Amino acid sequence: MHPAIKNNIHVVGQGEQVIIFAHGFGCDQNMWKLILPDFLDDYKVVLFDYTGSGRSNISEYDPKKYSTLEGYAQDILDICEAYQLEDVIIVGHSVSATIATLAALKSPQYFSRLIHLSPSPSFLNDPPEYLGGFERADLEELLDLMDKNYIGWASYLAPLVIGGQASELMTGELADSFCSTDPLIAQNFAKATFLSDYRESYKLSTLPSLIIQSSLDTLASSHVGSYLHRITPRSELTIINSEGHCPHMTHPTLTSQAIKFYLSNG
Amino acid sequence: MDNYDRLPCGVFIIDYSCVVRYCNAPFSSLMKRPTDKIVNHSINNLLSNGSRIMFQQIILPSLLNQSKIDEMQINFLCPDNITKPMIIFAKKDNQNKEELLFCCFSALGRDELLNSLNQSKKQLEKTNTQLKALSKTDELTGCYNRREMQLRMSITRRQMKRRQASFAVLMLDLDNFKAVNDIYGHAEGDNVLKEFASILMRSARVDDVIARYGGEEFLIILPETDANNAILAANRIHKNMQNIQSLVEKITVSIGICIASYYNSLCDHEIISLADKALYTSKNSGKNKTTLVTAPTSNSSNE
Repeated sequence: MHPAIKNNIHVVGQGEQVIIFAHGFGCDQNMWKLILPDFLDDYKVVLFDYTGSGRSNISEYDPKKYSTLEGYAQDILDICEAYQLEDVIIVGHSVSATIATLAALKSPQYFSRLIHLSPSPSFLNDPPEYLGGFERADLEELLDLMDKNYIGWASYLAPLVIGGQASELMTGELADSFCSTDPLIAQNFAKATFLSDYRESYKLSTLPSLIIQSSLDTLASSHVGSYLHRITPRSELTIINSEGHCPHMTHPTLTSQAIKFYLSNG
Repeated sequence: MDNYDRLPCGVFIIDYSCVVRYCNAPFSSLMKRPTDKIVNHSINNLLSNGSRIMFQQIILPSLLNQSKIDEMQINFLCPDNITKPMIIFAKKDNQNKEELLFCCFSALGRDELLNSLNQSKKQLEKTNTQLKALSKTDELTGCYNRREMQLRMSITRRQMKRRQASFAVLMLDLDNFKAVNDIYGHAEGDNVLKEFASILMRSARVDDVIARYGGEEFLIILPETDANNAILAANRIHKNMQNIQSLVEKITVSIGICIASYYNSLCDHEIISLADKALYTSKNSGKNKTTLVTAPTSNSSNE
């Protein structure tokens, strides 16, 4: 299946330079809508949903492939190949920073720069060197909560997918079709995201990268940001004055400014 | 806001930085904390660690994107690290754009119910996985059974078509197996079958399909394999036969191979039937050898 359908791709913007926005866990491409307008004049923006998220084609979801982040990285590479992209700048939120790093390690020829928004190479503590912020029990609790919200998934994922534009009828249809599959996919994605440790991959990174961190992020602490900056070759670190893990949604202007400032310098 | 203190649920309001701007008396009593220990503090301090991830990664983005969430269960953190499950409903404030409104209810009973439901669900999933494995495996040898082989054959065909690669179907039959049963008994016959299967499985690649076709007959599907590589694989099997641990002094196998290009014109059972015919050529010309045929491609009547 062509990625255009498989990954619900939208290509927008007037520029030449390609920029891919890769959403994080539990979301889809709608999460970029507040900063998207800032990039339409100067870039060709590629938006997509990972297989199993948003309005991707769920029939293409392979539980084994997507049990690790490498499977999601392949989604990005498939898009680059299908559209014959070159020189791509990729902005990845949270776990997508790691996914983009894996994609660039496997096929560096597609990419020119990586922008990591609220990244974390591992949520697990590994003292004394690394404090990801969470113990294994915390992450087990998260998985348990996802199980408990099984019924709730359908009702809030579906409107998220539609983006609040469609009729209630259509939302209802989607809720039906998502109900049976999505909770399991989300569980699988959660395990791949939260129980993994990709510090070694960042260490091997060769492309220039920018790490953007909120000044207060309870999921990826300042320790995580400075650690990642230290281990990632050719990385820069920008801390923006925002609180929370999704600055592109809560502080879109600051986030756009940080990305654009980095891109305007070389 | 005093009226909110008379409501039968907890109410709180946070800003986009997750700082609590207001909470009513029932929320403060649910949390077992005075109001001033809640208001002007981050909501993150009131959540268990797992729930904090849920809140930041799912609840908050959902609220900002779609304006409301219904019926989510998360764990709040009361003093002395006691966690309390609660159901929350929330919406973006239409009047004050930078605020998010929450109401919450204790979910102790529901949590117990969900725990027991999830436990049963996990048990069922486990049983289901076991049953699925049983339904596709040959009990004696641990290879796939015939039904699973047929399923995988059609999957392989589709994949090869997509990748434009050929695949090989090998039919294998142990030579003089009836004599093994007659002379050494059925227990030793079974042992030989198991040993043979384990030789096949040990040298298989991840995508290879190894199935017991019936009796002492086995079928192997080798994806992305041409004639040369199929012959190499067959020769390896002939050679490995000496590793079979058995009372029988020497056990050999006859093999028939059918190579199918991705554009072959045959259906599954025709390919198997060609491999079977090749196998009987091997049998009739002295056994312990391999015969190879190629599936025809010109006839397009079946595709």
